[in-house]
Amino acid sequence: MALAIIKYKGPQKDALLFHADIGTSQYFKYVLGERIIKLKVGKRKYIKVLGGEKKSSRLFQLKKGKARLLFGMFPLAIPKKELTENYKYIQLYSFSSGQKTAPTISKILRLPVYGRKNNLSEFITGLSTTIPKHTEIMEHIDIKNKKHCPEEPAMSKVMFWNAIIGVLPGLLKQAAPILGGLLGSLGGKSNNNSDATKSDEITAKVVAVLEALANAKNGAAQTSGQQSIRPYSSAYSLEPDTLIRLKPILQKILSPEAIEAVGDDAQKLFLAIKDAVQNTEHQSISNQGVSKGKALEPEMIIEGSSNYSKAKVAPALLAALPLIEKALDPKTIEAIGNQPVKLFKAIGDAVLKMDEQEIKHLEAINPGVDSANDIAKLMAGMSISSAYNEELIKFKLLTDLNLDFVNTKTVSFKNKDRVLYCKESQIIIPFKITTNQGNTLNKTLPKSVIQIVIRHTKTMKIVFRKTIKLVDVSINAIVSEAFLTPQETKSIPLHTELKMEVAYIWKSKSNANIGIFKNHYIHFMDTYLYDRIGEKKEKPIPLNDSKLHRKLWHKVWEGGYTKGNRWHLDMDVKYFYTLNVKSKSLSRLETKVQVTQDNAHEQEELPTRRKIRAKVKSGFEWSLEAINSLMQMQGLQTLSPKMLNVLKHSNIIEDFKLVARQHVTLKGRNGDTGTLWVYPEMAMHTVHVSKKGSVDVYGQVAHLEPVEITLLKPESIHLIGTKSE
Amino acid sequence: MKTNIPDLSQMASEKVVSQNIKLNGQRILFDTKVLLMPTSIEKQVSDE
Repeated sequence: MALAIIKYKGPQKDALLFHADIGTSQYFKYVLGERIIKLKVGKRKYIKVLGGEKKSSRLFQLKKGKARLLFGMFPLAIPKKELTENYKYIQLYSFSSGQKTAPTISKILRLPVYGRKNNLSEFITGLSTTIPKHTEIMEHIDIKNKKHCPEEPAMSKVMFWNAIIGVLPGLLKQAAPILGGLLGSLGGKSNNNSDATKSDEITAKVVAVLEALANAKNGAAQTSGQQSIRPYSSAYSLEPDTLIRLKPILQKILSPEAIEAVGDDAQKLFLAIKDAVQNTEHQSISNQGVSKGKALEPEMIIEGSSNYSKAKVAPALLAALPLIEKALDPKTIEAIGNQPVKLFKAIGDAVLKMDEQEIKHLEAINPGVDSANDIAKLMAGMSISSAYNEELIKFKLLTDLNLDFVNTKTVSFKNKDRVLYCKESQIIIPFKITTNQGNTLNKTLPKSVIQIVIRHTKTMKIVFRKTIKLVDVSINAIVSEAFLTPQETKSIPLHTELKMEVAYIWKSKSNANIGIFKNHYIHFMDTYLYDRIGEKKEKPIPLNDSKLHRKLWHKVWEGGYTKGNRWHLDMDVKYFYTLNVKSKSLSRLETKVQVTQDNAHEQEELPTRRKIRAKVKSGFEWSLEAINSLMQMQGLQTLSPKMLNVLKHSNIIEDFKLVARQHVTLKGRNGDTGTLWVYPEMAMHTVHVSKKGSVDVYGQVAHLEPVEITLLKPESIHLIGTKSE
Repeated sequence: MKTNIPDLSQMASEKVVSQNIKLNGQRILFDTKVLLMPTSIEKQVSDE
């Protein structure tokens, strides 16, 4: 039987591949055309052919033997050079002879793309939205159902910052006398070297950021009569003097590069300040063993401490931290009363995510006392405890000396200049020791120790620690004995921001541990480093075929209501997208529905129209393999196994934490059911990856080579509501 | 059956209903397109 059937199979390098079937016919041709026209062939009979601008191929003959072998079926590749923007459709003609007898025409097929020029990579972007194809490509991607929906933190960064702004005045008024005593000599004296100048500039920038934020907050408080976070009374608004106190603290504990890395990240800054207070009190204060200055006694500092009213801070903090009110039961809040120590513990609980055990530990070491001394103790106790901490060498901090890293190099990635080490290299961290006036000391230490502690900046968990014992070190020269071998850095996580604390410790005349320290914020890389997801490259692709893209569609809700002639469901929908780099599967996340209002339960008689209001939360978890498979399905360039591996070991998941919020309404009669579906639109984005360039003798990456790849990323979602008929 | 759902997000819901487009045997009432925004997610999801 003569046939003419054509189906699209997919793209090839220089052509689009179709499956053709001409049955018993031996001759065929195809026609590319601009539009479909109807030809009348009988009284009420029409056939559809191509019209407008069109182009017909030459007549092809399928060889007899081959035609029989293939039963008239064969692959048909249309060269891409023939597919200009004017041709939107294709039709296959078959004939029984070379004289075009017994013609048979196929159904008209829309070409995968139109309106674009002969660039395969460009026009294939639109494929999925036009015709189904390559459904088998995603077959190997499993789709799972997962319990629990993602949760956003109860306190946003802005709220966190406000909380810190709120707590800083009280905290610093408590701790500032200690810090001031410790660091007072630093503030007014300038350092001659360029590092100190750079440090000054950077810290000035940080302080400016703090001030700007504080002003913004105060401005908002003035312009808005009502806000979710109650403005503090003028007594507790942030004073520039208070902020300026941060400058010497930052300079003392962080390298200029580390301050740059902290930037305006309130949480990191808070942790840095916490560390300062922690080190101050915990490691005490000393200048013994080096200079003749008088050591400050903690008791003296405490006596001269705060004059602020605790009673005003407590309600202010509670107002600033609704989370605390939610997290703590009323009895606990009552017990907290106006004790800043306990409140700070609550902040620690909420903000630093301490676990129950640590809180108990804190309660044990802080039995309800309330003084500056206890604040510092409390803060010292707030460090994340681990077995490692037990092994760290404790020392008294020398306030008259500074440890400064030398020959530090930075490279720019993730929008900042950062210190980046190469894991495969020997790493050397040279430093120098100077006085607060910038002078070196002519002193040789018979025995000393370098302690290197590397922590995860977010969790403060120790990921590496090392001590290096030294003899006869002259501290008037650069100390180059702090090093890490490639073997040692093997266990350190890649592509993660880490805080490296280098401490130099020796014995005082009274045999006590004394020393100095400084922090760097660093990263480690091997060959490639994920930087960021950049600009959108193409128009978004709607994955709008409920069959072809079924794995990416999500039936979020299905149901109906009785107890009323009609029902009316108002839903506040929150839909999340996340990425799981450890999985190859896709996962639909559980839908959680919280009914907030239902008039069927508010009155004795059943309502004519039942009205329900609900919060609906659901989501979907992507995998890089699934995205890669989707890109293959779309005919887009896929990620190479190497790049897939780079992204899997990066923090790209942070760029895939997405949410859509929308209010939708479904209505129906008693007995009707409705559904709520979600499908995504994806957009191609440039992904910026860096390749390791040159590495200096200290193991620092001195140069990065930019590499660009492309990746599909969800852009928007469609919420589709349906109703039974 | 047609499985390719056109973008109806620019249409008023009355017009969407009048189109009589079916999804899984049910009539489509609305199509709302919502832009995805970055967020912070703190809890990991677990396998079922």
